[in-house]
Amino acid sequence: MGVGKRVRLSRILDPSDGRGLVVAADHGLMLGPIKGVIDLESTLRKVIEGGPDAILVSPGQARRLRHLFAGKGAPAMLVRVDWTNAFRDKTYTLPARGIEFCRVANVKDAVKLGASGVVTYLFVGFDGEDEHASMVEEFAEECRLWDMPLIVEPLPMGPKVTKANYVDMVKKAVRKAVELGADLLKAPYTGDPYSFSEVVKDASGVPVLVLGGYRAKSLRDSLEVISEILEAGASGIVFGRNVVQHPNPSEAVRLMRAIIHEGKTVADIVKSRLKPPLRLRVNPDSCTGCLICLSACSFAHEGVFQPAKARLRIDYDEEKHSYRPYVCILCGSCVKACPTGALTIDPETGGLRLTAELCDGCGACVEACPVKVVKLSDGKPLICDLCGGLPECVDWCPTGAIYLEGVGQG
Amino acid sequence: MVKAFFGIREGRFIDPSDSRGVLVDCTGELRLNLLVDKIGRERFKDIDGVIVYEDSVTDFLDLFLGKRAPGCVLRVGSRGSEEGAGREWAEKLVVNALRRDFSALIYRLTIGHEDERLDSSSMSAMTMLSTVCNEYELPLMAEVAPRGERVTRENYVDCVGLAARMAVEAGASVVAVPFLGDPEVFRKVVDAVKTPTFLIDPLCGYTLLKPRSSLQETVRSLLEAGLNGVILGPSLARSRNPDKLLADMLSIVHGGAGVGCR
Repeated sequence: MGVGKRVRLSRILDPSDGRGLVVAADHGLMLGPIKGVIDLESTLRKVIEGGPDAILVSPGQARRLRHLFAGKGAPAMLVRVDWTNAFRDKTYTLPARGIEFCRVANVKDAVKLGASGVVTYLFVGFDGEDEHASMVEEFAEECRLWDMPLIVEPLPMGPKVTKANYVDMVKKAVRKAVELGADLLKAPYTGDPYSFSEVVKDASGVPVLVLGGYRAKSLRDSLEVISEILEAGASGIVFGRNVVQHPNPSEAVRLMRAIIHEGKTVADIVKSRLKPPLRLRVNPDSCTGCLICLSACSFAHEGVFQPAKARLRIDYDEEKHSYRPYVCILCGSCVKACPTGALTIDPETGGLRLTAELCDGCGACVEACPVKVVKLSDGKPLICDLCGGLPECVDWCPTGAIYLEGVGQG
Repeated sequence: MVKAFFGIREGRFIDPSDSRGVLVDCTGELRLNLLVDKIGRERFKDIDGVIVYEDSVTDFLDLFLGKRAPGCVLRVGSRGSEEGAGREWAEKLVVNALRRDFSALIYRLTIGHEDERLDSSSMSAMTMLSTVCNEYELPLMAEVAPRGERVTRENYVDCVGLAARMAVEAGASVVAVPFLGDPEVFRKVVDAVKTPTFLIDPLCGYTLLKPRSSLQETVRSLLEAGLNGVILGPSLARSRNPDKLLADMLSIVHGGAGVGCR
């Protein structure tokens, strides 16, 4: 690899850990003025506050907004050099009837702008696959000439892609991109760390960044995905809508950065954002009665998957055919009822705390609980301690029917 | 002080937040390996830009990796390569500099030779470089050096003013001028070029006037006269405490600090 490529790549992937956090902001080129990119300069200023390694922009915005990329420590500029209609589904104006693509800039233009990399798609799974590969090959040749890193986005796209063959198509696309000369990949997540680690292996040492795709349900979901993909061997992320459409883009980038570059876990981040007193809340309409929360709770506290030993309960309403979770509402009735002072409130989390040696197993707390989630087991009460601030029931609930109040936005 | 227009490359050696910079010239008495030995790798990262020959980057590539690395300015023409300089020569240089991601080129414009064809040759190379640099959007720094036989102590300041203006007219985006004595004289040159202006290290061999006060004091007074920054070289090489000198310079240039405040 030439000196130019190495120097430029070092602005995308931090040389100290080999990882990169890239924010994609080129959506306007493909999708028009979607939320988050309408006033792109203002959004990018917020994004930059969070400290991304690089930002992907369209050629027009690259020229218009290049002042944002000036200065030591400023994010590296990546320029999108191709266009496609393929992402305009039925929710957008002029939904795509077929897959079209073209180049919108050349590598020389990007070099002149001071960019540190160029980005192009590589679709597999449609009739124009060969033509698309030829275009990528041309970009690869230009990149070799200018010593500019080529970042290829290998994507299964088109009628030949099915749910059943998706992972194989991702692998095929990734390998094709590598063979065509990609220096860095922007690949989709296959959905599980095992299959994704195979994708990383297929990349034969070319670093893989994972794209964000559609907006995640919450920032926490995005952070969980980032943790998984790093574990699977990815070198970082290229997230777009999960950042630019977030209510607080700088905070989103900062938290992603904490995981990618600072070795923080999602649990570390969630804990650091807790604002006691915490409260468990329920949204009964979202509850499907899967009972995962009960298993998670009993396993976390007792080491067994035994719903009877959970510190919450789920009721089934036969008339409405619906489920309703009941969680500790931290009303303090059990604390007041306890004659020995064994039950107290934890000042850090606001959850209950049991001093076992003071408990005589009288059961007054069970009687006092208005939602009937306190129960006795082996003569001691099972009470909700909010798992020290990270309740397992919340963590495992697949629908968000149980959630925590007192945690920062996101 | 002239505010620079900031493209990405300019911003790698001039801080966009204050339009100022501290550059270190590693193509003369001070070489890159010597500089790193003297100041250490951590302090090296604080420098805004380093002037180097092409080979130095290859030999010390790890110093230039990462977003915090100093901008790299490529020295052109001091090895006689501009002889018969034409478009092909300039384009090859510029393209090669861009391939290796240099932040700018620096060319020494010399005037005042007895044989005026040498003035013409230097100006011609400068013009050709700036034409191609502008086409490729690569900043060009002109190091103004009246050093011919016709340059005297009496006409020195005027020669510097002339060469600086010639460089700007030819298309230089940044100029570097030698010490001119009185800050007011310096201010006149800056006003006349209306382009970001750096001070060449006063200990540099070809500067005719030498300051009586310390480098720190000199730079501080010239900043008030519109200076955008300083190019250090021999002063660092000869300093007993180069790390402190560099720290002082960074503090004075960027922090607006007075002399000896760091």
